[in-house]
Amino acid sequence: MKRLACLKYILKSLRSSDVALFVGDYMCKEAYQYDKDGFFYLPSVSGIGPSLALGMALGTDQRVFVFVNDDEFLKNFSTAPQIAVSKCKNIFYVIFVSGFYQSHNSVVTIFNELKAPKGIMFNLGFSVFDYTHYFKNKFFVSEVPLLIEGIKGPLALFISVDLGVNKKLVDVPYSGVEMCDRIAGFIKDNKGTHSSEKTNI
Amino acid sequence: MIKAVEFLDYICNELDYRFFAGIPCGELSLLYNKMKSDFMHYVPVTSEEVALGLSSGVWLSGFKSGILLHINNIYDILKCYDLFNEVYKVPVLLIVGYGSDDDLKIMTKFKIAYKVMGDDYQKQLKVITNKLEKQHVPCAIMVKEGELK
Repeated sequence: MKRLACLKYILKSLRSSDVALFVGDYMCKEAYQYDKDGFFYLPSVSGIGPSLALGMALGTDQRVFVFVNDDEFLKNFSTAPQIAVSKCKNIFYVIFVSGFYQSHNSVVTIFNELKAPKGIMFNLGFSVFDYTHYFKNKFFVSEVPLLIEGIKGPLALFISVDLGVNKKLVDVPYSGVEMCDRIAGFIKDNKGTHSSEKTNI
Repeated sequence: MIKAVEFLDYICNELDYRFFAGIPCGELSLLYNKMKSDFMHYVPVTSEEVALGLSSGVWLSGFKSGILLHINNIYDILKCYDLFNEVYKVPVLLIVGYGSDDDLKIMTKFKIAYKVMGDDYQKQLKVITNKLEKQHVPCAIMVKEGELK
């Protein structure tokens, strides 16, 4: 299944109060098809994405999902141990594995050469799930909302996707300031909507 | 010379900056020693870029935040500063340690607004945090080696 289709199922499974952060140009364009108030896009700033998500997760009790491609995951690898040791129960690191750079589909990443990327994440302290098989047929894909509802962080979620992105998708139209105002307002409005109002700070 | 305890107390209790992240800096070592978890939160991180991301995320979730770093490491946050904090208008307070006045020349190359900490540190901190909160850009307070006791 292509990443756009996987994103559709996952994003539709999120709670209305969940925050989702997307890293990378094509990832943002794809996610924008299902745009909601809690979505935050980083099309051109890749180095800061997962750590920004961790900061948000520390400051709120809402669930924070960060979506990256495997090339971005490798680029931001130093943030992974930081997320793992934070022990935040509300952060979820979703990694789409295509084995290729999302901006240059013909260039491979080293991800598939790694001996045990899931083992690395597990040893860092993440709970690790691989949802690839759920997206392989229509019967199992209907279970994704149930799975997403019950997860607890810090969680690394791996999903292998088919190569290729839709290049006809439109750019995210929001400016950086608009997105910040939107996400800050969203987090403020949804604070305390969960059982515990306590944040991690 | 300024007492590290009073400096932290002013930043945390008067200005309400209670979340910090950073990489250890020799010039600020007294600050680390006087930190207490009952009134502030400090996260040691793997790189300055991660510190900036973490603090920016905390700011977006509604808490004032800052990072502690050495002046030589300021180059490491410039890319994120230019591409994220300046464009998205996410401010964080930078507490930057430096050794000599020569080190301070580095700051003139960047567009980060800063104040050098002196005896009237409370006034300087207030000016810099007012600017930060009004203009929504990161600003720095420069702490010279030996300035804290």
